[in-house]
Amino acid sequence: MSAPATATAPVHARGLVRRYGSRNALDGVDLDLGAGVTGLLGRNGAGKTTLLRSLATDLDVSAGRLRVLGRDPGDAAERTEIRRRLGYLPQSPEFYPHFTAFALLDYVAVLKELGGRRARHDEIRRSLDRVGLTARRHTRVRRLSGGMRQRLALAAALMGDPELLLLDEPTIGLDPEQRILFRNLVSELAVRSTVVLSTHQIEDVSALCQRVVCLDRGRVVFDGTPATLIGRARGHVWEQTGRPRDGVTTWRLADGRYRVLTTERNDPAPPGDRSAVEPTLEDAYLLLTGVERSAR
Amino acid sequence: MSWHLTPAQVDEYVSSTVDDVTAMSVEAHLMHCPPCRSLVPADEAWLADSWADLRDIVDRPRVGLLERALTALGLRQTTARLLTATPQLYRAWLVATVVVLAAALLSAHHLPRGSLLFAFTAPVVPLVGVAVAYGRGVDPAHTLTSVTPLAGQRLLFLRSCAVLVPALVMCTAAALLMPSPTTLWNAGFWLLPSLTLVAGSLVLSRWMHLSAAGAAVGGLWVLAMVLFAATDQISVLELFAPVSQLWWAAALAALVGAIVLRVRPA
Amino acid sequence: MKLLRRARRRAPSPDSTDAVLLAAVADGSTEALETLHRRHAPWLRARLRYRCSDPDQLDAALQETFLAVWKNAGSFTPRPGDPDAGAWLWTIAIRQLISQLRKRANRWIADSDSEPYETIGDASAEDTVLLNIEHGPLGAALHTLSPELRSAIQATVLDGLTVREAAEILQIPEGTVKTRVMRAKARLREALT
Repeated sequence: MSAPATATAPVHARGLVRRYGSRNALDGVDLDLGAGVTGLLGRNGAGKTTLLRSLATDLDVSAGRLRVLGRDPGDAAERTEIRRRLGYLPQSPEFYPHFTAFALLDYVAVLKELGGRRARHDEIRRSLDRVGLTARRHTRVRRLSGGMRQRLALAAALMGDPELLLLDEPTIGLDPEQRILFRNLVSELAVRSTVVLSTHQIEDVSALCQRVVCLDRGRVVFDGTPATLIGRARGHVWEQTGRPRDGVTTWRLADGRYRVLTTERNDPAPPGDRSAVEPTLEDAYLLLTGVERSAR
Repeated sequence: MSWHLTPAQVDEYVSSTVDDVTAMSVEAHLMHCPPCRSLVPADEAWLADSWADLRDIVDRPRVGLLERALTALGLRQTTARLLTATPQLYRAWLVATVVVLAAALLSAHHLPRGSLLFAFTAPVVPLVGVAVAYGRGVDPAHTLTSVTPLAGQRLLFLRSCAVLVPALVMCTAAALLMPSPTTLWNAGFWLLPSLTLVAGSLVLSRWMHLSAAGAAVGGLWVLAMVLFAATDQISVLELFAPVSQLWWAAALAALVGAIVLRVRPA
Repeated sequence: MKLLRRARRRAPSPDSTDAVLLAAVADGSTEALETLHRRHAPWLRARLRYRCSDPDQLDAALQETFLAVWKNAGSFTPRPGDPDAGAWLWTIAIRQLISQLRKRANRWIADSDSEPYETIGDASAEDTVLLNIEHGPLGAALHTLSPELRSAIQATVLDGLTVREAAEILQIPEGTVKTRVMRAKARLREALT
């Protein structure tokens, strides 16, 4: 990867471990992230949220070396410095329901130490405008829909032009149109900042990310470009008419044929009309996690 | 309107190069003629600035009574905002406090040795308030704000103040309404223990969730009460005796010292 | 109150009439206020500039004007068939300018009670004639007036000020305003007959 493997990179991690009791939610993560958008993929419980919270200085790591924006999150003063330059959208954010959208952002903006009142309010208006909530700024949070709340939380993360933007499942609750707007926004932000987003929406990753990091049981199992990940799957994806044997990942397509993902290149399959197809990122991701599953 | 100004006439008017009478004529016409008014050129930069200034005044979240009162008392506007943005649990705590203190007062007035109830509860009231003031689980917006620069210790202590002030005021008021608040002593004996418990939970919160710390300290207090009640040899009131107060003061000083040491480098 | 009304407001467009926009402003719409500001601030500013050369005071007066619109939009009652608020806005603007000048002049004197804003009502026949000073004999007659008499007419008839307000903006005693206006009107009547 082109990301500089130095301690001054926006994110630099070596052997990161986070323990919960006897379980390691992060189990030796090595990662260097530079500018641009990085997608974090992995099943539930793979450690995506734990990794993002560690990067966001919300969790202490149990072992390993971590530098965020060139600073040590373990040190109180440096942690505050990181937080001044950080935007974090937590998974399923919650709010004070009796606050208006504007007042809620004002509260967050005060905590973010954003300027005097005038500068703060101008920044709030700018953020509201970016996520398309200007018309609802004086609506109380409890009257906002799920998608609007998600955008409000995104607006809170965007305030203050953070250098590092950590988004935990940002597109949950957004309709297709809003997801396009979200993608435009993120790619615009990524020109100047480092964006890391965790998601189950693989289309978001294909559309947005220059880089994909796949986590499984607390370890990095893939780190590279989406094209590389797809390349790995080439030759492993088929479409056929007959029902495939058990033990392979498969589903029935709308035209009655079956799409088959198999880890073996020369899978002894039933004869008949069977054709190799170009894999998608989703195929590649499923294959990757499928490999891990069968190895268990 | 039977006639209209020419763009040239409007320009001359705007650039103040017309004589008084023409200016009067133009003005009289403009007042009632929207099409000619729209010919007046708009200085876009000025217009944008002017609107931004105006919008800043008309479009800001309404400031609550409490927040305004705090600002009037001389607090910084940002501090007032942080103090008044409190989880709903805090309001529930305020209500619960009133109820508990009222019950303690009632029992003090109507039951023999009823004033003991007040002695037990008054020191715990601020502790409970602080325990529900900050952190994951009790503050809904915590996830959204936990990694902001001001979050953590500073917000925690600000919130603690938001609890301590009303708690102490309410407890003092209750103490003054007790059956025999004849001396300053009777009104304030609970103060040092109560502050010590709060400080203890704040120090503990370094290693555990603030609510858990509050529960631990509160548990210790209840345990002490039970032990004293069981032994029968020393009265519970010994805990509030002048000598004990010295111990409370010493403990409080040590705990506050620990807190100050911890907050300062942050 | 405002909250309830806000719930049933319709979005006014930039092409809406002043009356519609002001109704929306009364319902708390900042968008409508922005449209009004964009529409009216330029000409109000140009006109105020003839009466005050200090740009800071001028901008302050304009800001106060639109703040007054924000607070009092509900008090605008359009005349039948005429949704235009130009005259109403002008009466607010000129009074805000006077109050700015007054603040500058006597900072230590508290603002006197402000009078309610009203559209310039039905003017007297004489004033109506004056307001139609397009071309012709009236223009010529105005030219013959001395600058002092002209400014007195301008303040009272054109700007719609009371004698007291005219005295303030012209910085002359009220009695002088009265006599100048009387003399000016007499001259004009003479010239027109």
